[in-house]
Amino acid sequence: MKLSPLLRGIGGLLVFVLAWEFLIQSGMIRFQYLPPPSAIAIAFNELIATPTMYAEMMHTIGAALGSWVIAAMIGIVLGAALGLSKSLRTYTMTSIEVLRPLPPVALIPVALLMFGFSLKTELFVIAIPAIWPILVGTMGGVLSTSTRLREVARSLKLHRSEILFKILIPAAAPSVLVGCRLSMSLSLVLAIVVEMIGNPEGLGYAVVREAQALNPNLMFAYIILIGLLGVLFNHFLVVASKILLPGEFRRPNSLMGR
Amino acid sequence: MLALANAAKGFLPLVIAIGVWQYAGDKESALFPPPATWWPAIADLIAADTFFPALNATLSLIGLSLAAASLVGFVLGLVIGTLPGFRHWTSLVLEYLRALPPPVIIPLAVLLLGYTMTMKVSVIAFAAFWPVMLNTIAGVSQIHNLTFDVARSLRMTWFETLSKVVLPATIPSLLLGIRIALPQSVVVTLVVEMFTGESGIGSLMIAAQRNFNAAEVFGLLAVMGLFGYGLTAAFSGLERAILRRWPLSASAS
Repeated sequence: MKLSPLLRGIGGLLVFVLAWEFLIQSGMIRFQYLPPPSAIAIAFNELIATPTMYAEMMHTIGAALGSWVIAAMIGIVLGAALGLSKSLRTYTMTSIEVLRPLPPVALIPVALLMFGFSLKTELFVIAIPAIWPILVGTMGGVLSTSTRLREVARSLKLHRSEILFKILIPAAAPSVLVGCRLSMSLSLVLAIVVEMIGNPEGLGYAVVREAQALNPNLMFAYIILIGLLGVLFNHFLVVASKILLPGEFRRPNSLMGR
Repeated sequence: MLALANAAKGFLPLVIAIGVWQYAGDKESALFPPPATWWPAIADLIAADTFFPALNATLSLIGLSLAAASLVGFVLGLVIGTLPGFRHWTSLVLEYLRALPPPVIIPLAVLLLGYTMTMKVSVIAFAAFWPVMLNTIAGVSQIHNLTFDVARSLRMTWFETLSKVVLPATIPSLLLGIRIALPQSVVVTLVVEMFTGESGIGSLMIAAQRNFNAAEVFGLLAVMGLFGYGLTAAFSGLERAILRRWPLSASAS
């Protein structure tokens, strides 16, 4: 009997959960703070009935999306300017290449120093690293617009604004979108990290709080929730790219496909 | 020579920003100490014999975790890449774990394993093995079917096919995966160090921030910038040196 790939995936998930439950219940592995999946499921049910969780979730999503929007605006404008002007590239690229590998979390102490425990800290730490993928994507997209397209535009005597709207934007859009996608998943991860180490609010802090309260069931419930949020973000981005640019995307690096 | 001159021109915005900060900034500022105060702050740390042990701890944690991540990612990637059935069965579990932001498992790992080296390495390796595994899978799937047909007509076993056909062809993808994993492991290492506050540059940064020692915070930030840049450059050089001798390029098959 051949099962479809999705059914096998679900089967694998069931095997994983059942094995975990069995190993704990039978006492074969024993960690003081590792609950069986059944206990986590009960805690998860209670969690989704708790109103404060929704406030925490909205805080995290708001910080991630807000920073992403700021990063997208800065990244697209700077990336387009860098793609269009060779002299601007000459006079900035090395600085960008030096700043880009700076580990994002190293900004957390600086942000805490400047903004204290506030939403600003989160926006600062998330938005700056989230600019890079969008900036690089936009610049690459503009730069890789083929010279033939530019020649066509010139021979048709297109106006500057026409070149922008009819040639450059459509040609660069796929790589801009790839950059936006990368930086959106980065935003969610960084939002969680800042909340764990910096600003004590939102889902990231909730995980730390429940761990410190030695409440592993609820901690796991929060972790499951954050994972689901991550899956949702990824899925949303894939669907959005497919709708915005049909035919442009095959899903890269997917484990589900084939 | 021209490229070097252009690269030097590219430093202009950074140099201007630092210059303006140094000369127009408030010398006594508690929040934005001018760059000239950063080095003395680091020198103090060196004199107190805390800087180099911390740098050493951070570097060895990154090295150890990256090695573990590469090994696990490569082996899992080869297994999943060569056995499509296994790939389907594990797809949902892996897809879910990949969507999980790696730092959220730090509190969990602390509860289960305590403040141990095992805990740190497993958290960082968990974050860093994805790009290695995914690139290895992609590398395996890029191998031409004809190559497998040749292996089959030579009656190679699964293990022989793996070691003589698949392994040599996927090394370039493995290196690409490690290059992507490197900055991620640096980030998660810093998170772990900040979270535990035990050792390493991350814990120094958080301690400096708690003491409102702004010059030290910015000094360490600059150190981390150089560190990230140096690691990336070093690995790219290593990768190029290995691939120059490699008979198969990633696309040739």
